[in-house]
Amino acid sequence: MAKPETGWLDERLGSKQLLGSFLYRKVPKGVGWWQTMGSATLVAFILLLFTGAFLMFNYSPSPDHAYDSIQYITNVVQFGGLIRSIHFWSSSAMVVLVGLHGLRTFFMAAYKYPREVTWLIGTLLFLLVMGSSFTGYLLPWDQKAYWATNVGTGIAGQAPLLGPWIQEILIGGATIGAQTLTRFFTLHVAIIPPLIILLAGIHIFMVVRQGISAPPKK
Amino acid sequence: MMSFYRKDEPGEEPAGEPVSRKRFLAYLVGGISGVIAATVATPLVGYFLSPLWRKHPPIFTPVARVEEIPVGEPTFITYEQRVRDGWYISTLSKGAWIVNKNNGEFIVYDPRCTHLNCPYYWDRDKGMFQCPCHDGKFDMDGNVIGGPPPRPLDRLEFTIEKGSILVSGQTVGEGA
Repeated sequence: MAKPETGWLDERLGSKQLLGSFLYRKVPKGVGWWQTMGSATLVAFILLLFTGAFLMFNYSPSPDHAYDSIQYITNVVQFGGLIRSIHFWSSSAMVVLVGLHGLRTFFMAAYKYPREVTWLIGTLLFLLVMGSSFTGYLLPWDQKAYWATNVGTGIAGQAPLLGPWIQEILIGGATIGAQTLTRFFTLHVAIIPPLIILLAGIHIFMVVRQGISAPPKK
Repeated sequence: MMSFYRKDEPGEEPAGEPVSRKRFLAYLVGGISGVIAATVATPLVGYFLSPLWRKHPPIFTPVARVEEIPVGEPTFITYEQRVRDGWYISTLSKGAWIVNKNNGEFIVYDPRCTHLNCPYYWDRDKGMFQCPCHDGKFDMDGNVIGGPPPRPLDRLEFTIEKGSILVSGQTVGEGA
């Protein structure tokens, strides 16, 4: 058996050590399925990134063509329905998984010293996931999308003092229309995902560096 | 079988067996990951490339009733042609000359002269199509009988359904 190869690339990138710090971390006793929710969220997010990017090839974020382009993706483009379904189900899964991940962290008190910053970043990530979910829901531009956004932005409008302002900023005017669709689209594909990548990168780096917190004793 | 029960230190390769348990599991995980990646990648590639081989069926537009086209008297009609382009359907204002040759034998001509795309007209007295730009002349079958046009008139694809003439806007051939 040959020795584990120390290749040309590894000599320069230190990839083996890098991978090793991911895979050969010390893990405390009692860690189980609950501690996999973060990784599962990451997998859902990666699926969403790829399927979402490919959906964009055939999507038109304008009121007169958004619905038709979605129908085109679903019914005409090869594997279009499959890719749209993966995007749809991954987004639902990500919301559920990120929720379970947060609850696990809360109930096992994993947010305590020295992991407060990881927890705060996680809170921001949770908000970004909800924002991504909310903005993505409008994009099919069908009745359900339209009225769900109507209700969602209406709820924002109920906030005291700033509510109506926030609602108008979200909608991009007085009524849901072309402006709403383009700004939701831009938030969904160009603003929120890079923020998630950045914050999740820091979040995961912190987890790798500090290790998983030991589960509390009963 | 010793290594089956042995606790290996991280990164350490247990000696003595061609493929250790740890190595085997690493291959297994790598293999499964590869299969998952391929499963996701295949639809993505197909999705990206499929517009290249997807042909859109033409949209046939009803343009006239058969009884509206008199025998031996070419009739000019205008219609709104719907054109499918991906998810986008645009509408073009178009025209066509319809010839009813022997009561039931129809020909639909593109209304542009084959010389420089000028619109031509039917000269009833001379019984020929006449182009005003450079004096191109065609007979009822679309053949060039005078002037500079290089080829007979272009014909448009059409079908007749329940007494209606439907045009797709596609050119199917020239002359007769």
